[in-house]
Amino acid sequence: MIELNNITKIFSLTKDQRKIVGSKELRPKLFTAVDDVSFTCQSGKVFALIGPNGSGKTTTLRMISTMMSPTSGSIKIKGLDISEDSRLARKSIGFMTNQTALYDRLSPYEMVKYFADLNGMDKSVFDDRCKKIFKQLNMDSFSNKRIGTLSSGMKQKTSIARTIIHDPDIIVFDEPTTGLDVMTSRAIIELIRNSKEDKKTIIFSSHRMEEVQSLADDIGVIYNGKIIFCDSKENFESQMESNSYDDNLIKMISSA
Amino acid sequence: MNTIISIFKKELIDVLRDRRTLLFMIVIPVLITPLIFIGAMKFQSYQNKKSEEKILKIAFINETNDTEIRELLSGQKGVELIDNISLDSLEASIKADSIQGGMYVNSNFINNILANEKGQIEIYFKSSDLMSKTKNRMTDALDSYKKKVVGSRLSDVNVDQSLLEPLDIVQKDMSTKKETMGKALGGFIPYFLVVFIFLGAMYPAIDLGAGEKERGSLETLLSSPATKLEITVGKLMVVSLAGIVSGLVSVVGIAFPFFFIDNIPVEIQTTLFELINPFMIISVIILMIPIAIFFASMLLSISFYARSFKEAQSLMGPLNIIILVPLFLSIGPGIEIDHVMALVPLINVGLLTKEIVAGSVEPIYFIETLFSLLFFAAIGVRFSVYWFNKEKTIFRI
Repeated sequence: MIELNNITKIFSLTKDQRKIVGSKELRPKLFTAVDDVSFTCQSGKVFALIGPNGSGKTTTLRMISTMMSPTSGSIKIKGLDISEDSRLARKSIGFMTNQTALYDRLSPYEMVKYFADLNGMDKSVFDDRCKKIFKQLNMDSFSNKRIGTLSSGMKQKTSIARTIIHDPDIIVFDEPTTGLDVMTSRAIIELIRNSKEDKKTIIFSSHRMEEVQSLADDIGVIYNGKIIFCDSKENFESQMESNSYDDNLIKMISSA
Repeated sequence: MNTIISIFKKELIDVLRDRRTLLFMIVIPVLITPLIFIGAMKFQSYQNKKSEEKILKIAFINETNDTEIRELLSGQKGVELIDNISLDSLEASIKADSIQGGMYVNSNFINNILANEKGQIEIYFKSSDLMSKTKNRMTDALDSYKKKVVGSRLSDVNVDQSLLEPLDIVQKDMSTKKETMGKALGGFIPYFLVVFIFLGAMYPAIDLGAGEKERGSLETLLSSPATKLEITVGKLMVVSLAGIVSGLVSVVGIAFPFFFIDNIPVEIQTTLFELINPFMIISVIILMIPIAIFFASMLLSISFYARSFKEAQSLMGPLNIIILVPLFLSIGPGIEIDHVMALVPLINVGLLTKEIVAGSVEPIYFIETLFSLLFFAAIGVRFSVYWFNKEKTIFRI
């Protein structure tokens, strides 16, 4: 389970970033990317965080993954405040983006082994799990080839294997299918579905409303750093005037 | 510690499989160092030979009837006298490079000499013509003439010429061949060492910092249980090692020219093999470690800051020049290692390496230099860790 309580993230802006804002008088020195955000992601459920670009989705997910520290508020992973022991919290987290984020000069096996080592996995546990995952994802035929020589589908499978090798209870996906082809997107959607079946806690951000519709149990809408909607998918749908998730999102943002 | 070892092992495999890194770490030092040495030696000997053999056209304008100076000048090796030039066109001819120099003997000259007074002679040349020996050849001829005149004047007054030379200086050089060659060779070694440590560390540093950002793999690494300290130390170890290997290879490369040049006297070869001894190699390796760590931390910090591989390269470029400045200072005249210089980074490396190669290093300066370098290396590592911990650095937009 992931619990966010009154999370705020403020960035100080550089000179160049301030110039973008507009007239000199209006130029702020600080920028609130995430503003007093609270929500909970339950185990065995998929939480979709949606909103336009620059609304604070990535910053929120980075704070959950402990890459960034909140300016104020607290985040609990499986009941553990991440500010107290972020290392322990990270052992329960798998993080994935649309970028495969792989090392071209390693093989899929070396890549997955590296992350298993970073997670402190025993060799025997790793061997068993690696075999299982490679079999599930049909990776055996290319597990010892250099990643740089693999197709995008093979790379995405490697990325999935790397994310789940330590069997994390929480999986964070930051726009996992953006810019990917149908086949590669399908593999990730399958991963989310399988993880849900395995009672994992899943949070993902996306611009693809059809994915949100088919995967999410709960939906959070974030706009200008604030959560403007956070409830079950059913309640999100109950507010819809048409069948379109996109229309409902735009309506919510417009009235925020 | 296990996490650091895992990161170190992974990064090392990654670096060793990168052709570009291997090129900068091993191939370039192995090839460039001997090429520079062979090239410099061959070029120097070619230029010397060329300037020795060059026939210099020197205008001789004589307003007296005396021919002695003319004979002395024409007797100089490689001088062709040009007589049909007037004083008015002399300067223009030299500037236009149609002749290399000129000598003007005015009409009063011989009378002044005969009257035991000073006779004035003007010599014209271009000092910007560095390889030319025009001035030397003219002054050599005039020195011979001066000796003759002085001798004649002294004998006229019955004075022995040896009265003017009361000192019989017998020069006894106490430097061994090893010291002389060591100081000369030792002046070059720090350049190769420092530049190649820097270059060898540069590409791995870019790949391990900005490269990770560009691939998006930094985020996944940061979401792993590895702490930022462990990540930084693991990466620093690999970048430092790459620098050390590159530096070592460049020093070994210095010996390569001697396999390609046939006519090196046995005496010089023996001296060189005396210079490159286990003590010298171990001392240089000990010095290289903190230099490599310092460079690695500096380069990795820049790399963490850069948004992309390209930006990291452009940020690191000027550093190449900056690191050379202290080394230039260390070969300046009269600069020797002392208790102050031993504490100034890179200048101390330049000065101490000369002493190490010459076999005349004092242990106290070695220890002081080493501690100074270790101090700066520690500051560098501390800064890298601090820098990597800053969200602004890692997630710079």
